[in-house]
Amino acid sequence: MSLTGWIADRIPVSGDQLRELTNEPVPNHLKRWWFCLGGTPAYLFVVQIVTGILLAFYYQASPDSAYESVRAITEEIPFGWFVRSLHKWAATAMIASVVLHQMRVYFTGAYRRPREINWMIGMCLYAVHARQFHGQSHSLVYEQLSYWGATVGANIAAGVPIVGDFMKQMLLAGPEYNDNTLPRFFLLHAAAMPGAMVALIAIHVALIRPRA
Amino acid sequence: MSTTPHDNAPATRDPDSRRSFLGRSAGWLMGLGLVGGYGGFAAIAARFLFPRGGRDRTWVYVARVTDVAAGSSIDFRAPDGQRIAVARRAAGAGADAFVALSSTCPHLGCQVHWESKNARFFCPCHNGAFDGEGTATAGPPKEAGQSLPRFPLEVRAGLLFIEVPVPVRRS
Repeated sequence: MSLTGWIADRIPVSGDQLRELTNEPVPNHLKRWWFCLGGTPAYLFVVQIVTGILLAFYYQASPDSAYESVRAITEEIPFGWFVRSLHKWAATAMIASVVLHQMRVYFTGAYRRPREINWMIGMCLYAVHARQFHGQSHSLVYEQLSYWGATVGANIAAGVPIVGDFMKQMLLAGPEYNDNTLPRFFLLHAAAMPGAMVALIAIHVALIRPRA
Repeated sequence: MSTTPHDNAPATRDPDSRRSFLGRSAGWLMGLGLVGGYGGFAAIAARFLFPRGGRDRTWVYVARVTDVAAGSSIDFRAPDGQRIAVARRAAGAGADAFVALSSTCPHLGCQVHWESKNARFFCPCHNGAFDGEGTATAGPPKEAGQSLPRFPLEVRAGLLFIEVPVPVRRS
């Protein structure tokens, strides 16, 4: 039995079926470039995951060595400066393209019934990415800006009525900045938040179809 | 769904037509672009991940043992540019008679110098001081417990050698 036959026997999806699925006609108004602005941040998110995994091979989330490990990535490890720049600029470009995507949805009225839930999920995605990601990523470099960025961010959280102090303590792993803060920020940045974003993006994209 | 001439259904197109040729060429060009782009990034990622095998160090010649009088010191410049004070503490001919200390203050990187009347290394930036062994005795380095880094020395056939880091090659 040939190899393709062997595979086809186990994965019963034919090329024709795939072609029918992917060559589905797209309404003409969707072929304008500004309808790509949702896919752009999705692609940049993949870039962030790939470069983020690469950076995590060398980054050390410990108060003693964090700054030195970032310096080594930037100055000594081959192409480290390139990978780190890609990670940073993909994040910046992602914010820009998400804002443009939001404007497209707003001006074409695509946030209205029946798509309100997807608008809300989109706003959650924007909040998670813009607020948490950027606040945390400063803090990982472990310079002066990192300390004050984390402190100011936590104090903003503390300003929320009733749950404010709880949120500040959850962020900083204590009443103020301490040795456990950096590992916490690192795992929020590199595991918890990306996980939440993958789940939200999956729902965001899945909800396009039923109401298209 | 109506079929218009602009519909993207290439099923019945003549394979020898100019349009098919251009379409195929564009497909190949895009394919090459994708392979080049992602292949290039894969190569960069592999280079990024390949271990460097620690910091490379090498032995470098400093001076003839007989040329350095006991009590005097040499301002040695390592291949990576850092200044190292190599001093002879005793008359012995072995490496034990010498000490090699970095001249860069561990506090903020200023250059320290030897003050013979106070028998100490002094950093003028923040009044840091170190004894003859490089241990901090005053100023910010003392508070932080930071000493001057020491370098290994060796005497071979009457010649003094020092082990220093190899200059970092940037990619």
